Amino acid sequence: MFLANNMLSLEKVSMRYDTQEVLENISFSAGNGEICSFIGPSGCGKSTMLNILAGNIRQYTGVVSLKGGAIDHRAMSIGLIAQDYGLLPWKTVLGNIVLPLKIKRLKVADYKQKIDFAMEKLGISQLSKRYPNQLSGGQKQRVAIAKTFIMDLNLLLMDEPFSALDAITREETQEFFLDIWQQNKPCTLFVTHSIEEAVFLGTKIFIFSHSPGKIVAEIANPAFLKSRADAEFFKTCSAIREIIQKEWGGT
Amino acid sequence: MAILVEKLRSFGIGLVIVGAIWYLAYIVIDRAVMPNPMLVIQSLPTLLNHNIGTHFMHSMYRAFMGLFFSMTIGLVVGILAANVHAAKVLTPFLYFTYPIPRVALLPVIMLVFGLGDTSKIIMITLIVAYPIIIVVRDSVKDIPKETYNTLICLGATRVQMFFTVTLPWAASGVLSAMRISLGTAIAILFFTETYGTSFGMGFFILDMWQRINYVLMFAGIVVLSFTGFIIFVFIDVLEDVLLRWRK
Repeated sequence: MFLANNMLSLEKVSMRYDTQEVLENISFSAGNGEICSFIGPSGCGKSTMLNILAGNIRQYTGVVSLKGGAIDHRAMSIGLIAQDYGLLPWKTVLGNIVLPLKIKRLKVADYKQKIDFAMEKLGISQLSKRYPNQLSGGQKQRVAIAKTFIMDLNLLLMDEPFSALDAITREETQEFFLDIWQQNKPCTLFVTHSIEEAVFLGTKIFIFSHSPGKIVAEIANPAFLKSRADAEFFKTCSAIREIIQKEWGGT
Repeated sequence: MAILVEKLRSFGIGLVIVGAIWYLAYIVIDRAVMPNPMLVIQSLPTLLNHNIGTHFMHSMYRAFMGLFFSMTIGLVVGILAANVHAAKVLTPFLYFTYPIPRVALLPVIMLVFGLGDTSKIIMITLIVAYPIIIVVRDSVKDIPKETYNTLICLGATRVQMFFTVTLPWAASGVLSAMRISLGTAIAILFFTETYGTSFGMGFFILDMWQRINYVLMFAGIVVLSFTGFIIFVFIDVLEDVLLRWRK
């Protein structure tokens, strides 16, 4: 089941802190069924782009539209999964998961099935009464994912969500994520600095330049949903590595 | 239950250590003003003939009221002081008034609010609220910006963000600050009970001192310490219940 017409488009979006240009003319569009991976060097402004879409940065130029109009964070459902999990330490796992519903003044009872489903799918059903301090990093991130997916998402923003996890947990959490993402396939922007991660999770891959961030390449990913051992996966990673070496100049 | 046993054990060990030091002081000082601890303990039941329940309840009332107002004022002013705009006025004010020995304002407070409980509670509040304000302000300032970001993305209003993040975060600072300022609160309580009242543990201790009844004076000190101990346990229990998530 696809949510109707969740087209996101950015047109010539630029942003500067004081005199320093951070983002320069970012234009692209994405829709349901797509995960756009963004790779770029640190400080290239890729997180700034997400923060603009998340409503945390308001001073930018250019046009951002979702479903054909401006983004309305209150009326629309936009999920943000960050590297630091964004959980409230004094709320239990369940309390954190239902927080978006409470903020949007929706009845928790109406979403019970969705909540149970998401927790089951992410393997955190047993943890509902625990506090974030009692969870491992991977478990915390799965709670953050569940919290986001109980909404009917119009847009999902992910800012290096797996970077704080160790290698094994990271791959496991990615699998969990893909599994639940495939239920509704909401339009997703995914920022990372890992080429393998971008290829594993992205239907499309965008490569950013050094600051000020520009999009220097856009690649439709043939290796999406393929195993990391697949030849296609390996080929795509190499192709991206080549572009990066050329564009970032050996950093 | 295990927590209770643990607390009782720790109470018992503390009692033995303090008892030993006291006994040593009794032997070394060897004057009537430092009575034998065993004698003082034996005299505790006789306190009942001296209306000790009423004294105790008066002290408890003043201490609890003082702590309650300190907590409320500390929370409100502390949160305000963390706000960029309010801080422009509040920070210089706090900075300027913090070093003023507020105990010295006692004559003014007494003249304005009388000799009764009001002036005593105001004195306790005036002194205890300050450290709470500072702790709350700092803890609110320490809230990571990212905590708000996920909420902004959900379209949360300012009021929602205040009640979901700022207030619970600040409240967790209040209890730690209370624990630290409890000793001061009891000291001020004793101080304020030396004037304008014939009830309260402070009055009782001074009264016994003037009657040269050192054994009962010490018994009074034991009860006053017990008052502090009860409040300490109260804060402990509050912390256990409200801040369970910290463990």
